[in-house]
Amino acid sequence: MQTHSALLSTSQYPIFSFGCNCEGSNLSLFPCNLNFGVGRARRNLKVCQTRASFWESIRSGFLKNNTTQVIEPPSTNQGEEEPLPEEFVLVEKTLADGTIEQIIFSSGGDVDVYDLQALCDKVGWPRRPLSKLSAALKNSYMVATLHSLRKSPGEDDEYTWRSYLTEGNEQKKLIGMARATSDHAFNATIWDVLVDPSYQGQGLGKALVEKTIRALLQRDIGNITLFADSQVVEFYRNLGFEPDPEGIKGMFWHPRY
Amino acid sequence: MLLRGIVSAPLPSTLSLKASARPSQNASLSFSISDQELESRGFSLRRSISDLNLDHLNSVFVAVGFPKRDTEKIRVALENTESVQWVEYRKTQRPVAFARATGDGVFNAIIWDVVVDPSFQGIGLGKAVMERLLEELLGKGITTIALYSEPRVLGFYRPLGFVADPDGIRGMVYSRKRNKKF
Repeated sequence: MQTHSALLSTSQYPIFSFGCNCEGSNLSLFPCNLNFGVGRARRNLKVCQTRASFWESIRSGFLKNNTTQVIEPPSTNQGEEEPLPEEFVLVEKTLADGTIEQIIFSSGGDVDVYDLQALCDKVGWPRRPLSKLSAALKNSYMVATLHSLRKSPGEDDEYTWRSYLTEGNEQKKLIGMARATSDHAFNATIWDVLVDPSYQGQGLGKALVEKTIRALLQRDIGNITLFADSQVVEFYRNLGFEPDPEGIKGMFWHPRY
Repeated sequence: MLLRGIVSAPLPSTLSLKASARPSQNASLSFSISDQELESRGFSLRRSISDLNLDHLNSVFVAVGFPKRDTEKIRVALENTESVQWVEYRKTQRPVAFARATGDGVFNAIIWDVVVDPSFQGIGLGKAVMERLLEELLGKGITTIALYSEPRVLGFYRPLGFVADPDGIRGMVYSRKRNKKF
């Protein structure tokens, strides 16, 4: 499959390079260095008291001299039984220039197909026709997204990266997506997990998949599956996936290598 | 997708799908057993779920070793399934072979629940539903067709053109046991 070579040639960051060949593999992931790649400004991050285990792994992705507020969706200690809100803030940080950046998770599936194509370009995936992308999204049982929302402190912002303005001084940008197909009753399969290279290495891919799983489980889908490139098998193992359970093998019809 | 107990003893055929050459998407695949041949033996090939008795289908699932599932949930699953192929034995008017595929309709499809009633195994019915399901998916331009196979029946899928772990890609399943939070 074209996966690895495409990523190696286009990736500029020696970090997680989420991306997959849409011909069949699910995800390619390389060992990460911490490199936010979002501006040179020193950010102040403060790690909040959060739940252990999963959120530990998110927190460890942030530099210690920064402050980031990791925001849990409202939940009690039996958080797992609380219904996951469709949209919530995953992470919030204050940048050096006073801009507040929020990373917003949504399982509502509201994706601009042009934004998605731009994101696919950024991770180096081969181009797919927009009409097909649109149809694939529409026919997916769940489309989960990560958006970055930047709020300038009062000033008009003239930034023109792929974003749309909301309320005058806000900018929202698609930075991650995962989708799942399903029969709505028994099985779901996760495809196309991707995170903007500028936002990799922060645990956002992990959060994206983890929240997608949780949303699927809450819809009572008992069998959640995916196909993983060899380099990302460990990534998914850490999220609770098992390769070849009971020797059951994933098979593809005439795969194009 | 689990296929238990199937013993594949395909009938000799001059028109089988070759695993080595990937047929072009627009070429119609030749089937190992033709529709007419199946009809003449008392089997009808069906694609619609409207005449499919789900209790009968469920009993085939149970007969091959699937856990018994709620019929209404099966109905929901089938209503949200892109493609279905099944074989009806006209004499009993019961389903004796079945396969279905879910997906996004343009890029990816996964084949599930491939079953043949144990009393009708070994005569090519599993191959018949699989070949026709593949033809339907390829006809829609879907290029990624995958499934999960029990180790014992890898040999059933290989002659149909399936490859296990191509390029090191692994099928993975979420296990709640491994993740105590959920």
